[in-house]
Order: sequence, then C-alpha cells, then structure tokens
Amino acid sequence: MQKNPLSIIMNPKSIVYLGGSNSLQTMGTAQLITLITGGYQGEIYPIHRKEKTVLGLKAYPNISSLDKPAELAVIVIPGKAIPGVLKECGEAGIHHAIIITAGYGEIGQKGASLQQELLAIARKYNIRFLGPNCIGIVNAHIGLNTTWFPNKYRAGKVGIISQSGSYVTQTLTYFEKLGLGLSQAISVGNQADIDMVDCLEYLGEDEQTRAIALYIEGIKRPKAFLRAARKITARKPIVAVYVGGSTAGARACSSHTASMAGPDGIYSGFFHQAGILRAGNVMELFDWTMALAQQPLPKGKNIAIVTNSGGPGSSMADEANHCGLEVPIFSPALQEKIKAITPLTAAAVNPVDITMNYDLDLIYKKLPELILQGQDMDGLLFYGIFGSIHFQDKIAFTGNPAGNILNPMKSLLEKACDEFVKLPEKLKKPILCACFSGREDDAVVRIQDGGIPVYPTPERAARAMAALWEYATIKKRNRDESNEGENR
Amino acid sequence: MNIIDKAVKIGRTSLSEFEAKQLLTAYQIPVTREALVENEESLLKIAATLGYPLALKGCSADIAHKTEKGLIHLDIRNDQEALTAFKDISTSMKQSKNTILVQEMVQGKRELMAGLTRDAQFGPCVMFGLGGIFTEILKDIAFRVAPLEKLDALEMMKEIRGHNILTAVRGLEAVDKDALADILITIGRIGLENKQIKEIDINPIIISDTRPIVVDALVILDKDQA
Repeated sequence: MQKNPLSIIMNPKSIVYLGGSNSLQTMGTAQLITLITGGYQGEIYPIHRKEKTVLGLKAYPNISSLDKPAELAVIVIPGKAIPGVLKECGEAGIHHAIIITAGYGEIGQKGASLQQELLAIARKYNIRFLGPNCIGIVNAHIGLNTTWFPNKYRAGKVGIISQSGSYVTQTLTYFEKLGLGLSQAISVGNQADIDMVDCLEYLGEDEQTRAIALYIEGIKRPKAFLRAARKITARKPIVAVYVGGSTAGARACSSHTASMAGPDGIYSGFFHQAGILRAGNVMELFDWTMALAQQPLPKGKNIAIVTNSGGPGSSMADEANHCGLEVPIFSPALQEKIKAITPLTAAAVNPVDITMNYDLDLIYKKLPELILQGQDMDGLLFYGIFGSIHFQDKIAFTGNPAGNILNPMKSLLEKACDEFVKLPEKLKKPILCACFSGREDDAVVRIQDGGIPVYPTPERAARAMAALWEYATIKKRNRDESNEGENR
Repeated sequence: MNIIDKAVKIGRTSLSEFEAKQLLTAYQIPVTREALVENEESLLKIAATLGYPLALKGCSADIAHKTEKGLIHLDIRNDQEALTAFKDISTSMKQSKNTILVQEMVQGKRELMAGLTRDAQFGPCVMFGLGGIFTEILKDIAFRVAPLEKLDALEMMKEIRGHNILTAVRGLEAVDKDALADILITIGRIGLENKQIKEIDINPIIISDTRPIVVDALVILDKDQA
C-alpha cells in the first residue's frame, strides 16, 4: 500500500516556506508568523529573493540553494509563479506541498485549467499536494499551524477535515472557549490532488484523533469515500455537516421520486450507509465530536440526570426524550439509596434534584457513582458545576481576607473535580455536563481539561449524549463485511 | 431485445404501466396480476380469470399520471360495470386502438412507495416512503445510494417518520420487511444494471395482509443512453 502523503504533510521534519517576507502586508507573512510562534520544532526555511533573513530566520534566495531538501513546501505566493516553484521543488527532491494560493478551480474555466497544469507538474515530479485554495493545516500535537489564525488552542482528540478553511482556523478561538481539544485539522481546498478520502484514511489511522469532524460541500469520489468511511466508523466516530440547497425544485422531472430527490435527502442516506452521524449545524458538529472523542459509549439509552436546580434538569430530560433517549424513574431500591445520602428536600426519582447543596463529595462523587454503578443507567447528564468564582465577591464583601477562605475552597473543589473526571473511565459510562458559566469558572476548566465536556446549555449536553448513543448503535450494527469494497 | 431497449430505440421516454410491471416481474418484484385487453370480448374473458373486484386503466406509454385524466376505474364488481368502464376509458383515450389494462384490486390499508433517481454525484439512488396521496403531502421519505445491502433497506424503513405503519397496528399484521427489503435492494440493482432507466416510481405498493405488492409503476427512460 502506498504511504498516505498526509503522514509527511502533517508531520514534516522541515518546511520550506514561499511567500513570507519582513512586511506584514502579505498574507504569507502573517501565516509564517503563526508557523514560527506555534511551537513547531522542525526547521523552517523561508525563501526570499532579496532578504538575508525573514522574520529572524535565515532566508534562502531560491529552493535550489537549500542545503538539503525540506520535507514540505508551504506555498503562499501569486499563482503565476507557482508552476515554476513546483518544478523547482520536484528537482530539489521536495515531494510534498501545501498550496494555499487561490484563483483555481473555484473561479471557473480559466482557473480549472491552471489547476490542471499544477496537477500535471506534480504528477511529473512525484509531488503530492494539498489545495490549492486552502488555508492549510494544524497539527496540535506538534505545534504545527500553517494558517493565518492564532495558536491559542488546546491539543486534544478531535480531528477536522473541512472544505471551508474557516472551520479549521477561525474556529480555533471558539474551540478554546468550548473546551474542545484539537488533534489535527486539514483544510482541503479544491482537492486537486489530495482529497477528502485521503484525509479520512489518514485521520482514521491517527492514534491521537478519536473522533473526526467533517464539513462537506460535495464529495469527489463517493464510492471510495463510502469504503473509507465505513472502515473507520466501525471503530472511530465520524460526524459530518453537509449544507446544500435543494435543487430539486429547479429540475424538470417526470417522477415523484426524482422531484423529491434533493441533495439533502440523498446525503442523509449516504451518511447512514457510511455510518456517519449527520449534525444539523456546525455547533452540533463540534459539540458531538467533543463528546465522542472523550467519553465512553453508553450501552443503552437509559440516562440519569443529576442537577442542583429544577429548570436545567427538566430541560435536559426534555431534550433527552426528544432525541430518543430515556430518562426512566429509578428503581425503588436506588431511590432509597439516594435518599439515604441526600438531604430531604431533594427529588430522588430522576432527575435527581439535590438543590443548592455544596457537599462536594456528594455531588461529584458519591451520587454519580451510586447512580451509575448499577445496571440500570447507561449514562449521566450533570448540571450543577459551581466554581469558586461565584464566591469571590461575597467573601470579599464580608471583609474576610480572600485567601483565608477561598484558597482552601479552591483546593477542595479541585480535588472533587479530579475525582469526578475519573468516573467515566472507572464506571465505563459517559458523563456530560452543562453549565452557563464558561472557562472563567475554575471548576468548568478543571472538568473540561479532565476530559468531561461541559456545554453552555443543558439541551446541548443532552443532544451530545444522544449522539453517543447513536454512534453506539452504528458500531453495533451488522454489516455484511464480505460485501464491502466489492461492488461499491 | 428487451422492453427497455425497444422503447428507447423508437425514442420513447417512458414505459407503459404494463411494460414497467413486466420489467419488475423479470426482477422478481411482486406485482398485481393483470393483462392487456383491446376489446370487450377479451375483457370479459380476462375478468373471469382474474375474478372481481378489478381495476381498469387506460394503458399507454404517453400517459403518466393517469388519475388526473379519468383513465382509471377502480373496484369494478361485475361484467356490467366492467363494460361501462371499458367504454368510458376508450372514449377518454381518443386513440385508434385502445389498450386497457385489467388488474386485480389488491386489498390493503397501507400504501407505501419506492423509487429510483439518478444523482449526478452518487449515481442511482433508491427512495422509500409513504405511498399513495401521502407521498407528495408528507414527503416522508428516505434515500440510499445503490447498491443497497439488506441493512440499508431495513434502516430506510426505520428512518421514515411514519415507520410505525410497518408494525402491527390497529389490528393489522406487521409488514413482511424481508419482502419489502428485497424490493428496495432490487430497485437499486435495476438502476445499476440499466443505464437507460432514468427514474422509477413504484407507487403505491399496497400491503396485502403482510405482503407488499406493486400496484402501479412508472419507468422514465433516458433516450440519450440508447
């Protein structure tokens, strides 16, 4: 089997960079700055005709003047110079490239023939490339970021393949707020050479990527895509967003079937066949992959809810029901056990409402463990994270020196959160949380960084739980594997 | 030379209902028992063989959505009604030679539909959904890209909102899902094996006790694939 070109592109030991200068007026310079400042440990060789150094790095006048070939070329220069540069790469023994420059297939006939020219040169010199018209890549685990966007993101387990550059770049700050950790992200651009199927196969094999998020506008090789996706979804979840208008109305058809066959319905069917979860929007795409990448799958659809407040608990229960989960009343035996450890005011049926209670050991350990350790419940939705930030003002107002009370509280809270995040692995059952506070709350940070997603609203946590269940059912279904690949 | 090749060769853009049913029969899809008649004598003979109640339909490749043109008479109970229907349809058709399809009336409360469409990206795709008048009203449908495996066919049935219609409801027996799955898988096969077929509507499929039976079918041809 041929080696996937992305294994070099995503993990290059050295990069030759075309399009960076000492002037911030070009996009190439801005992208080079992200590359330099991201923590990437490999060599970076900027090419510049005049300058001796670019952004503090030794610059080379052209590719042939490099001491040894770089593993990857990142190209952000005007289109007319690219064919020449690709040839130079080939002659210098550089066999992998990312072409960020736009103005190709996406602009029509003229661009398409320019794109063909690039492809022909690449084939001739045995070069594999990503793009053109892409924003580049991020490999969070080695600090590699060739995009224009900032490096403030966490390394994690969600891999992204996108036909829109924005969803792997402008989303980085959103991921940070959401608590989503990224493994690798690929903007595929026009897919002139390397396409989404190559990316799927690559992330399918990547150990650090535990769930794959796809943003799709069209599929170039549906049969190969289906084959690759099915192989992956048997063991690793894929969630996709497809946004396509319905063209059904515009087409002249004689049958009802054809008149109702918009791309939307066909994509849904195709995703089902591939074992891919279809998210309704970009928010769900990242919500779901975040849960799938970090939490164990439920073995059934019976979900317990623990809350310290009636409203959010009800919202969770309601939404869980809407998405096909069950929130069954606990057995009398379990109810008795819950009552034995919770205050009298609490409802012990499911949802369990512990009301405003600050017994950290009860909330974060005893109660979840009690509920999940039996056979009845398959997962837990949790509302009631309450970090020390909420006490700061009050403590200060009473005139207490903050540290006296706040510091012990913080350390108790940290201990409780650390116990809490161990539960999913220990009990082999998923836990998802919701909290209206974000990462300004120290408890939210501790829990998110410990591997349990905390969503900004109760409904989003419930829907993510439903996605875990949906993937569990996909994983269980019996495909006739002998048929796979033969007639597809 | 088969029905499709013949029709495409002479520039036709669809098969008649009778031809469409022959195609489906060749693929082992269960269809109504039926025959074509051109005069009253053969009508009564066929009626005696099939047994009342019957349906009479004007049959021509040019007539797609027949209901709107008054070319269908349903639930015909005896020879007298059959002759009247024959006359009515003959008048409406206004053709020199009238070909009329005589068909058993399949009894069943549940109507489903299946179909084939060709997508520029994915190729032949199979559709399944609620049939009869509900097809267009509710658009409760699911698609799969051909070829379908049994699992795909079964999941399509689960995917429609009205999937409970397939279970044992209101005194009806559960639908034979294996038989229905066979139909869906086969439609995908027909699409893969016959490039000249552009679209198929099989609507309704009536559930007779538990068994799905194709009551009406439309096959649209692509003359550019001749």
